Amino acid sequence: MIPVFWIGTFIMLFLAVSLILLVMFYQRNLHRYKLHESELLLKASLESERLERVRIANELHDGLQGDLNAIKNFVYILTKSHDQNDMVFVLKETKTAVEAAIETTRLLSQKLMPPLLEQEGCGVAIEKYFLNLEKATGVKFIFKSLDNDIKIPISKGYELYRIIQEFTTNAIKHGLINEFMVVIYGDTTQIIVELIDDGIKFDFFECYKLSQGSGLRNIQSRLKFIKGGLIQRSVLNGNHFEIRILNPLKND
Amino acid sequence: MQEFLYIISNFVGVLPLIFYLYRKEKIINEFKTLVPILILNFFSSVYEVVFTYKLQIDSEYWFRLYLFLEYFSIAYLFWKLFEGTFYKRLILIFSIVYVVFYILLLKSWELHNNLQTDSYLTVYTTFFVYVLSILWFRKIFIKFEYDSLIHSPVFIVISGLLLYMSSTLFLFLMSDFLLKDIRYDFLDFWRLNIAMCIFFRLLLLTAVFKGYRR
Repeated sequence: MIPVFWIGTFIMLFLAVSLILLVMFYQRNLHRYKLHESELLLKASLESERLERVRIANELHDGLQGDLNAIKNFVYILTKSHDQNDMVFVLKETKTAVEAAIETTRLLSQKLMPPLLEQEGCGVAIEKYFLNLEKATGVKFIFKSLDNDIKIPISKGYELYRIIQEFTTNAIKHGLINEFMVVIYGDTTQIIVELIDDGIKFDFFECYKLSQGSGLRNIQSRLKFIKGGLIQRSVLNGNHFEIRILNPLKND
Repeated sequence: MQEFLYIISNFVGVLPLIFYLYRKEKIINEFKTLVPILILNFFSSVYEVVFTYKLQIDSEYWFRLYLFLEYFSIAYLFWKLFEGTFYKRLILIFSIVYVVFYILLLKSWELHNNLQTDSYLTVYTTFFVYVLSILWFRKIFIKFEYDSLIHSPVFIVISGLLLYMSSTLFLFLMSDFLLKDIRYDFLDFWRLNIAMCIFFRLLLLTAVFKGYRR
């Protein structure tokens, strides 16, 4: 009986020690993995911000600064000119340059934070964005909101808007799409956003693992921020994604 | 040797609660789930020294009561650690079964002849600790609540419980046999329980120190 006692005790002790060590080892590795993932997402977010800054700087330099320089020159000509006809012509040109400067400023502010997002909400901003995109690309963009009463908080709405923007940019650039559809529905407990296109099929999560670029990481980073989950549905043609946001009204 | 281990075990048993009460305001909230275990260890040590050792009162009454209190101090810990209805229901079912089992075993309780029935309760508590610990480990992986488990007082205590219960399970299961068989000196085997008890109480003390806010 004594060997049974010691063997039994040893086996039970071994079981407990193994379980504890296994848990500690797994948790440590999981923690490292999560840290690494957070670092990558942060990098993607910073990279995306840097690119946005570069783009805005270019727009300011090439667009707004050019218009303002032209206005400065026209004002200079006006101070020197005595000919009535010349003055009328220069004034017309100045007016055109001022209008161009106003338009550039409007576009810049639109890109930085779409005003409609704050005034009318996420749905209207997406609708307007799709209208502009349709004009620019010739691709058919459809937006459907099945529950008009849903009011997504601005911070979450902004992230959702940027996520959809990233998806559409990718779809136009790599997917060669003819049609892109976004459907939003849900209630106070959850919101579901479906993104459907007829472009080239791709596996989001596989591409995310392999991707060196910031686009897909940017999507993940924004999804993490709004505590949203992404599911890729299996379809015959094109791609079908589903974004699920739990407690959408809760402002974190 | 036996007496020395006995003194050490009871001395270490009172320390966790003393250290907890000494700097109670500096202890993290999570630690409160462990307080019943600290209280039980404190009173168990005091009882053994005063009533069993000094007054020579039979420890068998206390031992049966201790099993009951031990189970519910552990159940309290898991009750506070889990939030979902499923887990609460599971703990409730486990506890109801334990109470029924305990009452049934009380009926057959006899002074100086209850080690076997005590061992049934110990096996049940060990099984309960294993099931709930595994579920808690699963929960912490899903929720990702801890940066490092080694610094979590709850993890230290749960590990201590697993180690103590696993290492003494066969001792309690076979204690009736070992005590009755004249070929063996039961105290030789009982040292394992005292040693593991000291180890568990040291882990409790470590958990108190880890529980201080840094």
